[in-house]
Amino acid sequence: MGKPSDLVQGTLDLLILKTISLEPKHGWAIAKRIQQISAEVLQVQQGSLYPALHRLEQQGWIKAHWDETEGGRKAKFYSLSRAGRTQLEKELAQWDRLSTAINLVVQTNEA
Amino acid sequence: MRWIDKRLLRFRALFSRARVEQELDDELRFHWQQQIEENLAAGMSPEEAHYAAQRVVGDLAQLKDECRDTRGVAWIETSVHDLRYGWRMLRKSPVLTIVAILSLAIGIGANTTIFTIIDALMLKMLPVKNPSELVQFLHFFQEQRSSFSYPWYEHFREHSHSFAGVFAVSGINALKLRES
Repeated sequence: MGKPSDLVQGTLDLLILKTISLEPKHGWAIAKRIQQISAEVLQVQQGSLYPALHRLEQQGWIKAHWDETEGGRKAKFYSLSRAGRTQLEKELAQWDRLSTAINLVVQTNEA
Repeated sequence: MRWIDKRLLRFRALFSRARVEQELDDELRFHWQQQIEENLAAGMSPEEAHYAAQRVVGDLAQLKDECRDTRGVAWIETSVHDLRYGWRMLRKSPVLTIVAILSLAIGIGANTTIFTIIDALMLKMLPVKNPSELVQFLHFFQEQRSSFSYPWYEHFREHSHSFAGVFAVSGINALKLRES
């Protein structure tokens, strides 16, 4: 149950962008969401999540703002910027190509 | 406007450092508290919940460092620190500082002076209107190059019709005349 970045490098960025593409989320919610959607297979550690979030923010793909959570606490919410939306599409297409290619290789019967 | 966002973030990281740090602290603390609450909800005792959350969070100082590194302003901060340190050291030993500054000043000054002279004498073309129309008179005596006497020069000057002017120099080798 490693970090997603252990599986395929660069995938964490894609997972984060995808997770906040519908609505702004704070770091905790992003980690929980990825865990939940992946049926508990992907567990994003804090140690890789926050550096990734900050890096994406510095690159201008995501924007941060402070807001109250449902529990009434202040939290830093992340949302996609317009450039981030384009980037997400790019990375999705790239992921699609890559995963299809890998599937072709590992599922072939001719060794 | 991605590049503006990026510049603004950089700017903020440099000039509102305390606030950016506070926000990083708050953000990670929020995560930690959420973890504790989840642990409590799972039936842990408050102590266990704290301890377990601590374990999940791991090395907080290192995590913060990794987040700071993404800001891309570390090299500016380090340079400023270095400059401040250098300034403090210089003020600590004023005599050494003055000697060092004087040595540099004299060294640079001497170099500049020498170069200015060499530039004027050897590198620059003569300050005349059409350097390509210059003609140089040479005088050989028994296959040895020798000089004209001053009356000779005066004679040339008075009787020349083909030239706009005539001038004489001594130490011709120090002047750069392009032959063409």
